[in-house]
Amino acid sequence: MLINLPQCAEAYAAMFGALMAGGIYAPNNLSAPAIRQRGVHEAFEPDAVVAAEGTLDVLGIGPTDRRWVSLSDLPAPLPRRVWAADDLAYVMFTSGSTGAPKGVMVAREGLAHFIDWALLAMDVRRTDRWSQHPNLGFDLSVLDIYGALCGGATLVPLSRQGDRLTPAAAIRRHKLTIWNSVPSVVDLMLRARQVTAQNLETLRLLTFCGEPLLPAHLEAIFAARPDVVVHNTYGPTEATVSCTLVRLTEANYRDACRASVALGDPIPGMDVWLAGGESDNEGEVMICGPQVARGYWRDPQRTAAAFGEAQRAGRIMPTYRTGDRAARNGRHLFFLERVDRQVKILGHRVELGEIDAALRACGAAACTVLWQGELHAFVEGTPSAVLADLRAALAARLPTYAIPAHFHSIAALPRNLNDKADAGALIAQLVAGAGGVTGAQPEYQAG
Amino acid sequence: MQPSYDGIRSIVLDALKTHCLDRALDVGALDAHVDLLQAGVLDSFGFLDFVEDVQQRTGISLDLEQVDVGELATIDKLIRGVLCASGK
Repeated sequence: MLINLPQCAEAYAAMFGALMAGGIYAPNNLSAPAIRQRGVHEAFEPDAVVAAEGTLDVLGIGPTDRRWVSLSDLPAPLPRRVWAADDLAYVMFTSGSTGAPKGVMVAREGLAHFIDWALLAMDVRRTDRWSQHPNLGFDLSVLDIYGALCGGATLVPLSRQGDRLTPAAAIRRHKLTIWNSVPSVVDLMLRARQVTAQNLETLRLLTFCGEPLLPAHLEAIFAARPDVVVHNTYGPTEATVSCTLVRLTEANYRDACRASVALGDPIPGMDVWLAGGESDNEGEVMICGPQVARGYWRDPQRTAAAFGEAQRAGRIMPTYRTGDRAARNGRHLFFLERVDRQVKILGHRVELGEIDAALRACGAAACTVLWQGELHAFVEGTPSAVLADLRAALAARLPTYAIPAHFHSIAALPRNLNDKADAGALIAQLVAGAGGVTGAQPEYQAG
Repeated sequence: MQPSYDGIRSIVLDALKTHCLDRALDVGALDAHVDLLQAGVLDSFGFLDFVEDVQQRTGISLDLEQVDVGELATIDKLIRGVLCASGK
């Protein structure tokens, strides 16, 4: 069943209904471009689409192809209660590097394992009022929906543009006790000066996933509310939302901060280790356990490239290589960068993420890309005149070969559907500009 | 002197020019009622910077505690929001 609805009670009912009737579902991201929404529909080939009436034209379903069914006319199938571990729960389509959507097949065992953990780790109570901010096409929403509804809490979908952009008013209005989102939402709230004790007054727990949580986020949150708990979690969609946790309080968070906040320890039942690095303390993040997906929808080639199997606790378990690099520093694990963001400059291995982290340490939000053999740093909201100073500051932190040849001032970094800085869009700007960068201020070129 | 709709409009369009994702876009030709976020003229971060910039350029503060900034995402609504905040 394809679910073509925004965040709303009908969408949640469709998810539970599909599972209880023995089916599988895929949520579509209605904010995505039409071509992407159509691509998900074509790849998934659903037997049924649960949709708001106005959303079907985008999918390319013509009026003659439609047969509207009223919910009250549907037979009520007896809920199945026995499942095989590998029976699928949902297929979450993510953007693939080729541009075609890639469907991650999450098994019922994985979903159940994740939710059992979340209910305990988050101590979900019936009195909790839980935000539902992430788009349904982003698997972070799985934590909200199943965590709240399986825990007897109240789920509050935030679908109004203002609530999604700067959610302080919604937190207050709905008296939310649990907040879950990508960390970028904290950046938005900081820009609107909304991270205040009054705005966060009702919250007891904030949980983040999907991109690096930064020390500045925690400083702002704990300055406003020293008594809240923050969970930082990590995990790719291929491991069912998240599979690590670090529990942070005002008293302990500084120990977990480097350039970004620690990813945390593996949750019970999941194994996380580093492979392919120069020591056991650095390398690509590997994951094994029941939450690992059963591969990519109708794509055995890509499945074989990323998924494997390992013997664990007397049982064959699926493994997944994440493409994320991490390092252990003390007792904590820290995200470094995507494996595919490792480049070579004049024979030197350079991590683009390391350059961004160094720029961040100099007070600049930036994303660095490699184009035509040269490094280009796009710096957010920094006047061109300051870029020369930034380069000088960077020289104290990075070897000469890792200092970008070009600096571009950009009003705001382009972000993908999950609010992560979109390196592909920046390269597209360079390609389109080829000399004069479209969308960026005049560049500063390092001498 | 009280600001006028056209006066604020001119400031808003100037600010929009520096924040929109596509620098080649003719912001003067934009429909004043189109949602700048939904139309992809600005992303979330750019929109908040744009609103901040408009406040600085006009010297008029929008009370973001009280105003739902997401409801000011068209040129027309933002102009009216600024006029409203100026007491006019």
